[in-house]
Amino acid sequence: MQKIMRSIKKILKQNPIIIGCFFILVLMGLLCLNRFWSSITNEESTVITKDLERENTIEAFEKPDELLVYELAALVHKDLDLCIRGCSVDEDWLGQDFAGIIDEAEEFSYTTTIPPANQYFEYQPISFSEIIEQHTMSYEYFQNILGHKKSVNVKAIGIVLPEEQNTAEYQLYSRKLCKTWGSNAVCEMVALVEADGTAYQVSFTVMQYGNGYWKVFRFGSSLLDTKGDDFITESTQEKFDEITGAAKVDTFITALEKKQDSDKEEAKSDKKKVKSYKHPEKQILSPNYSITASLYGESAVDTIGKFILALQRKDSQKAMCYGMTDSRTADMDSVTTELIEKQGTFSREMQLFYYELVTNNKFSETSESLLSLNKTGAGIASELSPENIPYLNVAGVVSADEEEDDNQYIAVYTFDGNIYMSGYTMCESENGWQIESLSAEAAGLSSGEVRKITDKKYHELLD
Amino acid sequence: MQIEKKITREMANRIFEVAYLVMLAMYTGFYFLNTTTFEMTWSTYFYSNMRIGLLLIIFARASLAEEYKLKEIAGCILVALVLLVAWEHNGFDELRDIVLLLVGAKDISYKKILKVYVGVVFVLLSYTMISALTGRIDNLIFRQDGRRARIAFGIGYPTDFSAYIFYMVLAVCCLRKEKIRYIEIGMIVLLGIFVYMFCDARLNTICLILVAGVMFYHKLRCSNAEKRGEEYEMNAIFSMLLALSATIFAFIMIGLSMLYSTDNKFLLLADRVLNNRLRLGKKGIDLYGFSIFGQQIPMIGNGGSTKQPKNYFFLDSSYLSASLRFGILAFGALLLILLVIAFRAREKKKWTLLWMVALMSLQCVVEHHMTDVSYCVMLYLFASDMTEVCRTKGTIKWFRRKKYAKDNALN
Repeated sequence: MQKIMRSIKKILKQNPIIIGCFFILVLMGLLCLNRFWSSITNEESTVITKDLERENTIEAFEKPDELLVYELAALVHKDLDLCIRGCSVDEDWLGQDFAGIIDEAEEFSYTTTIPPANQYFEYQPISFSEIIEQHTMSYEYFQNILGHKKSVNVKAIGIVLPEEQNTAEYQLYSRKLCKTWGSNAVCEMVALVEADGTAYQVSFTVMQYGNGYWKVFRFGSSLLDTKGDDFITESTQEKFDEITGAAKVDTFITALEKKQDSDKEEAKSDKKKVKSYKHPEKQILSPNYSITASLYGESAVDTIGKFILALQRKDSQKAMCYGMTDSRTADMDSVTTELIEKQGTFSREMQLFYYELVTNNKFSETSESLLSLNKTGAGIASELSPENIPYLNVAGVVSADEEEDDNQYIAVYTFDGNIYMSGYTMCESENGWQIESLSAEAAGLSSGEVRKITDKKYHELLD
Repeated sequence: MQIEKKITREMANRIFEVAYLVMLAMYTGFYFLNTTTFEMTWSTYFYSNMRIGLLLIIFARASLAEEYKLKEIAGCILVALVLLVAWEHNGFDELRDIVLLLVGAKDISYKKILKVYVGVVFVLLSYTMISALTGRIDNLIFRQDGRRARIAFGIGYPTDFSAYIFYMVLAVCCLRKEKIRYIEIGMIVLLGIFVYMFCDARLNTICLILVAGVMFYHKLRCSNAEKRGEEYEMNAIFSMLLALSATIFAFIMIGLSMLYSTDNKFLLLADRVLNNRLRLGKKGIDLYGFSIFGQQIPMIGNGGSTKQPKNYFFLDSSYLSASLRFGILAFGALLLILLVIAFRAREKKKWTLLWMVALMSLQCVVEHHMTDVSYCVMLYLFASDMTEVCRTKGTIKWFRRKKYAKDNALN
């Protein structure tokens, strides 16, 4: 041992630079360790429930009537997961023409449409959650009307007012809709369903995407003046026949696709064969959504800090995890409506939070005309850019009401040359702290509100 | 009598050495002018042509080398490999430029390199200052809350201007060494006061005053040793610490930034002293994290315009900036470069150079110029010749002798 120590000393005396190299290697090792530690402690921000683990049997439906058979089977069997898989989710947020929607409406408010997620990926989890929440609400409506029935059978599927859908006026409307949502074609359809002896019509708007697959765009039909919360009405065979006429679904869709091909500059010379499935109700489509995991902080302030850090890292999916209050997603068998609604509610608050911050409170939840705003849709879209969020600085987090221990906090930020505050209502569970809501009633801050404050107020809050 | 038209190896070596120094001057000038408010429009291929020229000079010098020391070649290859791989991943061109300038400087006298740097920066800085003061170019004056007016004298930001002064002073001190006169030391102090009065660059002022203090102390020690008839020898442990200064400061700065928390009073105080560098460093680590090969980190600083940016995020410390942006491997290579320069200076008893490297390492705690081509002349000394013989005058005499011999032969 002494010999070794002596020889080491000798080497170091002859080459003292080895000491420096050693320290540099130690420093590099520590940095690598820090990186490694960050990667292993990085928790997953989405979970796969047992429902979502189900492997798909097909990629997509190429016939809309088969899609509706599948969708109705999912609704009847109370399978929310399969129901959402049949609906357009990624297609909506990817294909949305945000500026076009605003221009068309000629007004803007924070709730006019889902955020422009195809332009700014930070909004993707928010748009995503809002879309699947919308489909879930329709699913819930179906369950409320027909869910308690003993037997529900699909009798027929048809096209809603086919002559109407062939008119130039509707063609123009459908083309606008396709352009707004990035689809190839749109078709309004209706199913005749018998539940415990009573006939109902269930209407849908379906869209064709990509290389010819169909998804349910919305529950309801504009031609029948039904939307997501009233798309089921009592009916009879005669009424149904009157609505659908003699038009066969296959013939109508083929004609619709031909019309769509003739509009394109190069007509498809080799039309591929449309796949058909004998028992579409037994198929499983591939999963097209995810569920936000639940993450916790060690304290209320720690949770708020982690939430803001996730936003600064442009990881809004992770930020959302701190708002999934005690949802216990890890060991769940099936996706529930409560879970998706919770996700949707918090994502709306986050949307408001983002909008208020990046636009400097320029807009509001109340609709204002584009004329009064002096903006176009594209102008509004560019105002909503969250690219500067990484520069957000948290100046401090204080209790909203020190006298009452009600877990409400105010965070003060500096951003874009201004000072802001926003509220947090926190809740504690056995796993830690989470954000119940982005509000602090004690301080008069509503959900998602971000309020600009003066220097004086800033010092009042933090000193 | 027939005149031999052959160029000897020695002649070729000297020619390419001069060519390298010209390229160094061009690179320094190019990068310097890009930091000024001159509206520069370079021709499309100017930069890439410069790079090609430098590459050719490197190949030529390598092929003319008479001997290759394995340790030196291995060191150059290792450093070049790491920096170039990192450059490929992260896209920061300064890494590639540092490699070229560093490898190209092999066996060239460190004094010549420093003289070229001082000459170029002095001339360009003087011209820039005069142009700014006479209104030929924008003279940015920054007025920030709680601070006096800060003048940039034609450079993009006042602290960048003061950093040029600092690095020039470092280079001059390395050249003057203990021969520096007290009046020159006084001038360094005056420069420190100047940058404080007109640029309000507090940290660079402290660094300049430290340089003056160190040179005063070193001169004193050297003259005392001379009076005793001895050669001044720095304390071994102290010189070791100076040689390790870059690594030590890197540890301290990165460590403090990682540990920074508003709950810790000491760190809050340190952050206030360092002008929020710990807070911003911590933010950079939290947001982007360390990576092996580096990453692009969007930063918004105060330079280039007197308009206060709405959002501010700038990694001022070279150690944090390099480790986060260039990656762990490239950062290690940069520290190794400084380590090798410092230990070579220690080995060859170049105490002034050792001090200057240590002071530069200190300045890098608060400034981001460690890898800025127009500032980091010290890095190019990695493989340079550190013997005392500076053959600038010798080179000119040598050419004159050759010409004289040729003319004689012709006659």
